[in-house]
Amino acid sequence: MVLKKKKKVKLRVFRYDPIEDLSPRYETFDVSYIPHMTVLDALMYVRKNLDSSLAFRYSCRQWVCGQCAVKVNGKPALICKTSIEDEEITVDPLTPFPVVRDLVVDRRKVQDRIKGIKPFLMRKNPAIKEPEPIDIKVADTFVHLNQCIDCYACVSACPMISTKKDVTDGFAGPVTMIKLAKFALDPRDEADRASAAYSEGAYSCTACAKCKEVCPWDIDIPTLGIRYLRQLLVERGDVPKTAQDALMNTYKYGNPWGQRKDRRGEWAKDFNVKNIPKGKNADILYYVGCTPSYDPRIQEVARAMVFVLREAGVDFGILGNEEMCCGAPMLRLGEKGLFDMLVEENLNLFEKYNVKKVVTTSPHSYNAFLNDYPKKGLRVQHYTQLLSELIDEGKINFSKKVDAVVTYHDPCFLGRYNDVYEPPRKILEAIPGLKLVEMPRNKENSFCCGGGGGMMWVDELGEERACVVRAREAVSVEPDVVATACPFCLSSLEDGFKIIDKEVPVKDIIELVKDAI
Amino acid sequence: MDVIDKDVLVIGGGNAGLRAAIEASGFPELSVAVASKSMIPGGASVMSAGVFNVVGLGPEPATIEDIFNDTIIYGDYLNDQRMVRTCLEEGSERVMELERFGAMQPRRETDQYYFFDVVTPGTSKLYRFKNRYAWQVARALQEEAIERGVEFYPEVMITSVQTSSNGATGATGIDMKRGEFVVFRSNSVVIATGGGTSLYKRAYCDTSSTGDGYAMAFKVGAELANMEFVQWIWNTNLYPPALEGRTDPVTALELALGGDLTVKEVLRNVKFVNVLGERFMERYDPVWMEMATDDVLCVAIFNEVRQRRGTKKGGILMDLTEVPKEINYRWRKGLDRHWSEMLHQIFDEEELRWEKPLEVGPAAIYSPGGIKINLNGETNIPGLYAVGAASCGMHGTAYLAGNCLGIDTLAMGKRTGETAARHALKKATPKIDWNSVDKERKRVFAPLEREEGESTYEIKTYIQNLMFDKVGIIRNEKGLKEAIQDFQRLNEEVIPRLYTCDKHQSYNIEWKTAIEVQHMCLCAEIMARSALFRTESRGGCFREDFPKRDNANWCVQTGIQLKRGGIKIYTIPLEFVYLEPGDIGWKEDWLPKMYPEFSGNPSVLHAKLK
Repeated sequence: MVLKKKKKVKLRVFRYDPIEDLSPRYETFDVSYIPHMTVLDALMYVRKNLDSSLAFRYSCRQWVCGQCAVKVNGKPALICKTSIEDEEITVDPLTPFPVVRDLVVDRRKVQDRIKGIKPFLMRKNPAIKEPEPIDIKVADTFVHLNQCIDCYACVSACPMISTKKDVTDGFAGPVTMIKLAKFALDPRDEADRASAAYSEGAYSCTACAKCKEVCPWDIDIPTLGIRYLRQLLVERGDVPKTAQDALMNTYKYGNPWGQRKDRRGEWAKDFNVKNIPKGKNADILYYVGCTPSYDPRIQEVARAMVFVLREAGVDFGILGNEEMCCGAPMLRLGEKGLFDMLVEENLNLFEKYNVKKVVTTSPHSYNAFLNDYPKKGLRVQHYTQLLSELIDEGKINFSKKVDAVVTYHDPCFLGRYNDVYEPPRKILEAIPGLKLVEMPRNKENSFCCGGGGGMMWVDELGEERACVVRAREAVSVEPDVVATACPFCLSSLEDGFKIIDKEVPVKDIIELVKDAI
Repeated sequence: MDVIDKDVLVIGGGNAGLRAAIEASGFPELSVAVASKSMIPGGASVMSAGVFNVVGLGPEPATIEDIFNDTIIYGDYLNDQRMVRTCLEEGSERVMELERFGAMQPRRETDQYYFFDVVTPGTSKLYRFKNRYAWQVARALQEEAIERGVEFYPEVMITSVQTSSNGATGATGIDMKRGEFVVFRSNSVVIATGGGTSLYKRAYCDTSSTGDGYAMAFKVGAELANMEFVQWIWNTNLYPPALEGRTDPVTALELALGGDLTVKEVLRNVKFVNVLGERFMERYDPVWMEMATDDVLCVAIFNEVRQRRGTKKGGILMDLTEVPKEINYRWRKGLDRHWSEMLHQIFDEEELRWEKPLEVGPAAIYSPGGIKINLNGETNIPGLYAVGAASCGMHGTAYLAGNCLGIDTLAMGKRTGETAARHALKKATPKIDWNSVDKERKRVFAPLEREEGESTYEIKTYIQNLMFDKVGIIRNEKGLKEAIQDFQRLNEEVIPRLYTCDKHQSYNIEWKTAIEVQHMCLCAEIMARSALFRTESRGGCFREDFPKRDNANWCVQTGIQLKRGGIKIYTIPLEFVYLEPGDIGWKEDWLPKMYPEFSGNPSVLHAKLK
């Protein structure tokens, strides 16, 4: 705890009465800090002693009524659960809900969307005996999903919603999905919940897991909610055409882009990289991934990687044409069968070529090998982790300066999923001349580019895309270059800058490192 | 002004209200609405630990007798025995029904619910839902109500019940979001507004239990009963102020140890210490010490605090350093995440490892009294019904853990909903007395329109403190008389001059509070008067001037009613259908020795304590 007793906390509160005020404003209140102080304490103090007109909701004080969700320092949270840890705190109402007054928002539109899915048990035939036989595990999962307290923090946090003007614009949001998943899971429910999930936007989720992070009850919305619903949809063949193609391509060619298998290693043909299947042994397998193998722009990233690893004297090899898709996007698209097949094939490959350590370009592959694959003693690293180790060991000699102001966009599967926040920043800071600036939302609070969860192959609903919002945010800190460490983020952000017509180069960290060597 | 026509209006969106609404909506001719000043579901229902007493379920099923006897012992013979019995007979059905509504209970076997034994004075098996299940019960009821087309009016605060000579005609309220006055025209009005624990400065329940239902019903001439009783819990947190009274580490102990080790056994090694460093339970109950009953602990702790031997924040120190480390380990491991995080929010790591004493104090947890109802939820006014914590009849002086959810809210909810619906079926559209509505409108808007007067928040704090000090755990004639005088003065002189600084109409919390304060102040007077009337000690009404239970004269309910000429207070005889007083185990009579007030300077002690 940084704060001591008797210190003042600066509380910046959003104030707005749409009926009486012309525009919203912020008011700042000084509140004395007391140990274990929550945001609720501060707001109650203000209302009782400084300004009785401050409007906010609260009721139970123990995280179950779901009324008091607001944005604390930009992050949706329950005020009764959030302890004050900084000297300055900004409290905003949940977005993008219409404001009723100050911190109170009108939640009707989300409630109507929920009502629209018929949020009640629908069955024609009553139970023959009671208690009705239900699998213990199913009941436990049901109880987990049913913990939702309707605070709508997830709705506000979701990059597919917060970018839109209105809650009704497109995706119905994590809260609706979790309710649909609950009913879909319920063996008693006879309604067609999967179809409802499709029309409410089950294929709008980027699996960024922000909803899970802000959920006061830690409900696993991306996995038990959306991925489960997508699996049901895949079983029935209800998948958007573009995603269907990606799945089919992966099945046929081992990559979602529908490229020929025998051209997978072509990007490296002028580089004389060790090809492990051709009998070359190496300490480390560099797992390139589908997009860096085929996409002309991202191939640059793979080539930069080869250059840097060589300069650092790392003994590495690739699988060349034998490399297969890691399956991460397929799993998130709901094609569990295909994913399992890819897992088996990849593990067989690794075993066949005695691979002990893997370094990946993409955080998606990294997360899949690390968390989604069965544990087989494989050592997996994202390249930023390896690089930061190499820098520590003094194996990378920077000889050139990169005179640029750079801002770094955290890929969700690196940051939020695996807590890798520091290595990328360490690499950037080690590059001579480079000045790192942070975007308003960074690290834990980072905002998804909109490209994860298989969304590379699905059209986003609604007017404004997430990549555009993120590109604008990046522009706001006036960088010369936007850096990231994920092929999907790179593509998405480039799209974003194209749409807002700003010429800001987006580069992978490895490309910046290459420029500096 | 919006006029909303609904055949049945339920005020309050907790379990009791929702269950009543569900039942009423079973009649297709009727339109049913639920209005709540909070969200739906809301109130204290969602906060419950989720304990149900169920007859005939589980590996060692409890019988009706088991639970009935325990209920009567807890209620000290002031229960409506017929109501308890009937609801127990129907209770299991009501719990099974939850799965039909969409709830899913955690299972031990595929076709067996998860059971959990909680320590009770008798033999009943409590059937507890794992994982804060009570919230999910409320969810199931909400979903079922949506399915049946019950109309929800969240954040519509009902401010008055309207009646004519023929009975209830509807209610008036404010739509909080727009700040507009609304009128409901209904033949049946069900009050399910919960209890009045927020009348006290430290309450375990949600902050919206301000006794609105009691006050509204009382004003139209409904009979209230047992209003002097308040149930207390002795071990709640005192810090930070917003979360005061929210969490009770000893209940957490009970949940974590899972029934095989009782809390009382743990308490064998616990020491309660005041600021003088005294193990003060030696004075109050030298035999049982910290293992004494909850009533005794509450009185002892309250008395220490009252006599300035408590901590600055108004509590005592619970020293758990001598409890075997293994129990602490099991406690910390056994807690579910919610409890664990809640405790971490308010206690330091050292305190949670029991290396440092925990500072705890008593808080109000339940109001067993309320609007007097019969077995069908009817009050003395035709068309006006009450259910749940707003009603009186089921619990006597205190509720038995597990009775609130199962038999009070669900079983009585169903019965009340049905009665209310049948009443509405017989009636034509009611005639609203527009003069009375207009008067109510003026009353409600007055604080908003007044330019100066008494500050709403100050009066609220004043009432809560006065209630805690003088109509709290220990009461006496002098204190009660002073309190009554004070509340009378407030009701006559101060309440009519309440004003709000905030003049906006939309979502004006100060305005909402001003209306609540009017209800609170009336309730406070009622409670103080009832407490003064009962010249004995029983359950949560401890009179230090009459510390003994007086069975000969006081095995009766206290009735209080507004009649022409003022407040009338009287006794209501009870019918002992199944058990005569004394048939089964009385809680032992207990006479605490009170000590003279500490006369030294408390701040010296507080300094010493650090």
